[in-house]
Amino acid sequence: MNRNLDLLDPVVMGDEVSMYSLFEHLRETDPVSYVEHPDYEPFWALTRHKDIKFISQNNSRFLNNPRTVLVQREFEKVLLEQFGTRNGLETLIHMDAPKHKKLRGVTRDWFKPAAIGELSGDIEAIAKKYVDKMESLGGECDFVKEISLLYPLRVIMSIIGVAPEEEPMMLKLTQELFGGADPSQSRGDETGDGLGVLMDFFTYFTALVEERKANPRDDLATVLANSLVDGEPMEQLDQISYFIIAATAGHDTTSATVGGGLKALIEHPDQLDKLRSNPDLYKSAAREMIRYTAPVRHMMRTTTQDETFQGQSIKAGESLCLWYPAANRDSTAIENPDVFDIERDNRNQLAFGYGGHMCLGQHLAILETEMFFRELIPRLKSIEFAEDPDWVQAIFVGGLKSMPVRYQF
Amino acid sequence: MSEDNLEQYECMTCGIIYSEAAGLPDEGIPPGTKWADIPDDWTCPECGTGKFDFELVVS
Repeated sequence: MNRNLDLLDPVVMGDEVSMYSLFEHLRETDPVSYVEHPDYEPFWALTRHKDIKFISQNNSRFLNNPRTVLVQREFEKVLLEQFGTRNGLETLIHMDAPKHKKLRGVTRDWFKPAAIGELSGDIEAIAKKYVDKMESLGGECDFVKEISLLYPLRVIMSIIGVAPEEEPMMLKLTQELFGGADPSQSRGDETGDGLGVLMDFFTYFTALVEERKANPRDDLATVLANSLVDGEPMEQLDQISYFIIAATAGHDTTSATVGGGLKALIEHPDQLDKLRSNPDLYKSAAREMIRYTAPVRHMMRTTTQDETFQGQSIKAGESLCLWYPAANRDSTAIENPDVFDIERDNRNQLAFGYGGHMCLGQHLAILETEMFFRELIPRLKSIEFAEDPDWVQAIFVGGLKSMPVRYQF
Repeated sequence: MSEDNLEQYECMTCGIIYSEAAGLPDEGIPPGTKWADIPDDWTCPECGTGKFDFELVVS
């Protein structure tokens, strides 16, 4: 049986060891692999850094909109019927030029390096709050459930303007959206359940838009609620989708990085010691954690002309699936890629994507990760696993589901 | 705009600033290199966005 079908198995992809083993196998033996699965429209799976980087950089030649992420065929039909697009949502990742640039421009100023830098004090305070919480839990906790799932959530919700009491609901909806293939996180097995998650997001953010039109504040919700595109109010599907991507990708990915980053430090005590003795390495360590965890597992593109990759011919109009964690462990592009090295120069890593669709929130993600460990590491005397960590079963956005630890402050 | 009429250009994708005063020595662009003198096929070293998608930073 072709191993490429495992790309669509959330159990395989939800296990770090089996996922990277699969990527290594494909990268070495079948780097442009045609995947035919009964539940999905077919696609080409690409796992080499050079190919993924090239495709990512050429947005007019490889389009996002026709098919953006892997969704089961039956659910795509439901989304098409309900929303008019097989993608369901119309977020920035679903758009192509010229619309993509126009809408990305609506919030770009909030996420550029200078603006994120101004949030350092606020993020530092939130990081301290969660490290204080970890200390107060008496030397043992589930780091993921108690800390790393909640810290980035608080940060992005404070930027958007969602009240703290709404955060548990936002977390649950995010887990149902990204962890829908995991029985412990899914709302249910029916296609109506997946649709229900999207409708709950729509209901919440539609109300928030009306509130911020009536009562504007200095927050991202107000910017989105009152934004104009080409002089007209933003289309509702675009607007609500924008809220959804900010409110989900804005924390789930960073949670995966913080949790996976601490796991990596526990597993590599030499790196933990190095970080503890050299505070100049926190930013570099954050970047390495992002490369090493690569929470966004894939994005898709559609070819606009016939192409050839690794000697494999691909026709115009076919689907490509770019596997970023595979690219980040490609030894032809990254030296000793399976080594966790906090001093690594990570300019070549692709966890944030590349080109025009490179993650809008990358500077925020790096700063949040840096600030958290800058607060935690000097205060932490020791830490070890109390039980084996567990992963979310997912093929789109992945990360840890739990990580019980024992520690001393 | 900095002294000596040297300007800054911002990447519209990732937000990094190209400063004519500083250049990008690590990328082989010496300090003082004017934006117009950077090749048209040059891309942002952070995100790969083309030169066409940088905008002048107006103080």
